[in-house]
Amino acid sequence: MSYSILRKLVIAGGLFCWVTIASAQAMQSASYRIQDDSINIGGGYSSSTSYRMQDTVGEVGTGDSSSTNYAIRAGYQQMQESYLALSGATNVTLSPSIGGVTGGTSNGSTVLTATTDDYAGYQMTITASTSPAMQSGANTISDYSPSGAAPDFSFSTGAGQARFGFSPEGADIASRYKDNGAACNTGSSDTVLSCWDGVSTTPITIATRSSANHPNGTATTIRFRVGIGGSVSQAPGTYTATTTVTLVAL
Amino acid sequence: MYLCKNRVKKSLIGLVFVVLLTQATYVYALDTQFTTSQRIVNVDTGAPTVPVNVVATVVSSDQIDVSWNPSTDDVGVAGYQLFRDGAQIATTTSTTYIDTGLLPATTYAYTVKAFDAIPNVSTSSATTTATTNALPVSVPTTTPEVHKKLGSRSGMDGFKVVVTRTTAQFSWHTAAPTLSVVSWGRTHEYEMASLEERARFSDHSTQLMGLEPNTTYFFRIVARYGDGIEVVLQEGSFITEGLPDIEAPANVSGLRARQENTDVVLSWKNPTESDFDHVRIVRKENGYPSDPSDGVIVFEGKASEFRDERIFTQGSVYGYGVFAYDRIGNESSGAVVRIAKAGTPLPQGEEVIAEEGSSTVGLTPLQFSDVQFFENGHAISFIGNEVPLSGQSSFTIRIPYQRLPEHLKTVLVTLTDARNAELTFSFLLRVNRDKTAYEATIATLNHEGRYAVAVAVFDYKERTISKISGALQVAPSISSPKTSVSGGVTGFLKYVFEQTGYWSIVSILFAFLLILYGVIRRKEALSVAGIPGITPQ
Repeated sequence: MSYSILRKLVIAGGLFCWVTIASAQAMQSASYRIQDDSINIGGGYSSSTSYRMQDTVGEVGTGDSSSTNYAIRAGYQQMQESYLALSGATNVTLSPSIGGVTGGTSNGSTVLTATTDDYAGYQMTITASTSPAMQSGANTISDYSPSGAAPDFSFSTGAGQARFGFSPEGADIASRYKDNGAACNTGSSDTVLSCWDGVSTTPITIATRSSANHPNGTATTIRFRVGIGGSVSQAPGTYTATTTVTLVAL
Repeated sequence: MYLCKNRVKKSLIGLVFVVLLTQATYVYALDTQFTTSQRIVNVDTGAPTVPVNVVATVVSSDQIDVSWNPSTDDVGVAGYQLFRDGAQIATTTSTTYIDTGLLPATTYAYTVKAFDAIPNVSTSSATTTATTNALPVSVPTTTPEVHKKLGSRSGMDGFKVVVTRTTAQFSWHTAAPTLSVVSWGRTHEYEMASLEERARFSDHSTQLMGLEPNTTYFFRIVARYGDGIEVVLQEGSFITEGLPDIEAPANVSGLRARQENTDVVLSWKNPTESDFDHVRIVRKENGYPSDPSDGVIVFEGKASEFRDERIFTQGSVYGYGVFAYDRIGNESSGAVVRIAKAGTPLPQGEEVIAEEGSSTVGLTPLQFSDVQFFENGHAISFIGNEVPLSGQSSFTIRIPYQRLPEHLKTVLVTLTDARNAELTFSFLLRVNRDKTAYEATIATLNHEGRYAVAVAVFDYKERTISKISGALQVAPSISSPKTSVSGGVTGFLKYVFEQTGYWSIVSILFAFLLILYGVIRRKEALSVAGIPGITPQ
């Protein structure tokens, strides 16, 4: 077998594999799922006794059009692509200020709306940039640490503790944050200001959905709370936690 | 063959890379980042400072406005607690409070405390008291016997007094129709007048007119019933409203202008009136600014000196008017000064300077005796051609309106210190609000003695200047009497005593005794030594 023949076989086999892998079917890994893929080659005129077809090479005259009765998605291999949107996140200032020695509790929240037309839904995670998340120079406030594996149904601060926690609320919150009125990660309720958890530098799933919710989307409220115990001498300053919420189509 | 295998290997690796690259372009994920912040504040164990300058201002018979200066706190003042007669009546974040629903003629004591967010509460401020305005005081007017006679006819209600500067409107209702008499006066004798209703009414309304502003009046209302019974329905007092401040402030005094290179430096002394607010300086090329809008406004403020920079690079003669304002906005007639660039004579203008005492068209000659002087509201009588002033307060110069030409004119008065002809200052006379006179108020003159007064009337229509002159004689100031030194040791000691006090005299006498003792001892020593001319005793 000459080198030339071998090279042709390899190229042909490679093209075969490529077309097989990319032929308009979903691909997925642990983290991502590809909705639709394609190879943009080919085209020409075909006919039979029953029909004739003309297809194109490249994207010509593409785009969405609609009338009262029809909606056209014109173009090369026009097919359903996932719509994914995440909106509404704002910086949160917890209120009120807390006396460094007197201690106290302050609260704040932000609302994020996740929208997708992916039939498989989405997953929303939260990740802190630092550990612990709340920092003011060299001074920190510890991330909330639930007493067990599940989030704490009620936020608790010991006299000697200073903690920063969060609690997600909404129709799509993860089962970890659902409750039965007394405990979390059980039941199907979403009791307000319950199921407190601590942020981490590894993503924590706070909401998940297994169907499309386009166009209305689903709001998820993330409540944050800082509790300073009465015997803690927390250094004064403005403590800031930077967190990232990631939305992934499933 | 080895070469062939190597190329096949490379091609496969490249193919895998292309496949991975193609897949990597299809990621469907979004993220958003935000911050959560928490403020931890210092330990706030200290209370805010005590509110000071608590002021209670009486507004009416049922309202007192309370205000105070803000307190401070190491973390922050959260608010104030206001107490009336020891009882807390309000919590506020403001530094003012309007206390309403009070009783007439009643004294209330106010204190304020400040607190922070903890809350740490300050100690109480000093107590401030205020007494609401009085309303007519109701007095028992019917004896049991009379009350029995009147039966259901007795009694009144709905009594109301509405007071203005010159009027008082009474209204009230009686249980039965009565013929009422309202008497009033400045004393409890109700000596001024009475108004009697012409018929019997149940609803009564009477207006007193011609009252003096800001004056207390006493009144009494008597009801006369058909069966001859007379009952005092109401007695009391009211105060008419005061006049608004329409009095122009005094002019600045001692206005001077001097040239420094190309700058003009103005200096003056501001009026000492308590409601003085600021001065406005107006500059006009060649002539005098006749009012605060006649020229370029170059300065507004409370200073007593102003530098008009690089002004002599543009023109050579400028007039400046300095107008004093009070807090209400009343303005003085204006002190004026003109200055010419060094080497440039002050122009006299194109007007024909009339002889002193000459007449303007249609008017008898203006005389210095036509000029009126007032001090503390009292007219000053002339002594010859001089006007004696006490020098204790500002004074007003006034020329009756009808003694001046009707058309456009400027009336300028210049005072010159007789001891130093260079100490002069000028000011304008302006027509007063009721157009009865041209006048100006001058602040207290600094020095006793004689001042020459020159009045110049610039008649723009006739293009003439009428001038008259006279003098002011300012009496020595009582507050700083001069002490003359009489002759002799006694006079000297008296002078020293007056100027320095008792201990200076004691010190001088002690020093004198020491010198005397030294001289005697020296004589004794020389005598003992047998020095010629000294006889031992």
